[in-house]
Amino acid sequence: MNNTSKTQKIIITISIFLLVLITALTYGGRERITQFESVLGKVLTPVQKSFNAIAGFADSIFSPIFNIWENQKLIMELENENQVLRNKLVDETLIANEYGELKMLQNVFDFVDYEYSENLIEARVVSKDPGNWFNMFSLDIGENKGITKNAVVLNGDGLVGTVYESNSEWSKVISIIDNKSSIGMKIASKDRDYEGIINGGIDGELKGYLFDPKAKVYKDDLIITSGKGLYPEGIIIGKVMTVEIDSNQLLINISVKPMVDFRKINRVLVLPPDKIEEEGE
Amino acid sequence: MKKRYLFILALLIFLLQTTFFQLFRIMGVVPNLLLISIVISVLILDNREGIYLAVFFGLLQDIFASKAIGISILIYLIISLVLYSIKEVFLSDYKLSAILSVFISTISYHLLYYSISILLRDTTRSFHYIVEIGFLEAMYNTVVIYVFYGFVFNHIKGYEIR
Repeated sequence: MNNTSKTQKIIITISIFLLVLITALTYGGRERITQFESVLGKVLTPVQKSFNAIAGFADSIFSPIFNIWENQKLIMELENENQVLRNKLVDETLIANEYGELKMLQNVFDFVDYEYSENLIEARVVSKDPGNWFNMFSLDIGENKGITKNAVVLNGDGLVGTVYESNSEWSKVISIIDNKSSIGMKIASKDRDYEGIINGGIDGELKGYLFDPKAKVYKDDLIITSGKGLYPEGIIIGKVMTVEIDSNQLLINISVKPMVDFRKINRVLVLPPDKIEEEGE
Repeated sequence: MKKRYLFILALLIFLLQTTFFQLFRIMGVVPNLLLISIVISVLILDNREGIYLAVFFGLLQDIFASKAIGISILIYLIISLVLYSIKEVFLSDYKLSAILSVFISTISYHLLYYSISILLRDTTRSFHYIVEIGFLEAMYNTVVIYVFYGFVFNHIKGYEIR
């Protein structure tokens, strides 16, 4: 009896040690995932896709009923915002006749440069994080459509994240708020050309700083990608929530609320990394 | 319970959790059916099915929605082993045992995840957030187990729960 108990304890200890080792080895996203994961994904992805399609259909029917008050409020906010944006657009168009300024507007409102839009691949979200820790989800496309690690993922609201791991038939996406790698960003304003760096912060916000210590940045300023680094220029990231001046380091620190609702994503667009490099050149 | 049925049921639970159950988010939190299933199987089933389930769910969660393979397996495994070791204290035919087990397991799940994230230097959540989300999820899981535990218990054991 004692021997059995001792053997069990040894097995458990070894298992835990091995799991810790595997965690450490696989952390950070792998270039290629194992054959076992690939086959499992290949089998489960079509099933998950069907389940998700049914869930999406149910959501489209029941969500307006459950969220009727919220939706009413949202419609009013959007109408107001739309009015402001329309006026702004008219003013901008009247004042700015130069091509460069119009292109900037296109970047802000359409957020993907037209050169890149040709290379965007549509994908469907097949499964989401079962827990409440990360905003990670899997897509129904992978290397079969040229999607590899670090491909940029976006949707109608803006930047969603990057591909964390991929295989032939499916890929795993990590949101920008869960990723600690830096994003080159700038303020979406034709008068204030200030750039900086931003990355996943704590509790669903993005934290970063501007390079120019004298930069003029205000709450509710729109932040877009600057084109430096992994992401192409002009993708909406979010809105500035707080601005703090760090006099010791001569930096302006900002926190940004992402425009994307990461929990309500069903379809996305993916830009393969090789296409970004090609266009960048 | 036959392992074949348990495997099919576990797969179905995982598919529901990653797709359909995402609709039942309240304040951004979704109940963790995987953890609830592990707790129920530890309390009700006799042949260490809870441990198999912990490894199976952990593996699937790590493959499809985790930053590394092993994190979820490790957490679910630890929870199931601890529950097995104190199973005698928690009498399975009392609903209160199931409620307490799932509440404590949920809080432990988040604390373990937070600790591992700190060790990996990959914390994107504050301790305050963990407590808030952990508590909400624990409440949510408690409601789910309160509703379903009696039914599952009766179905497997063949007599009414106390």
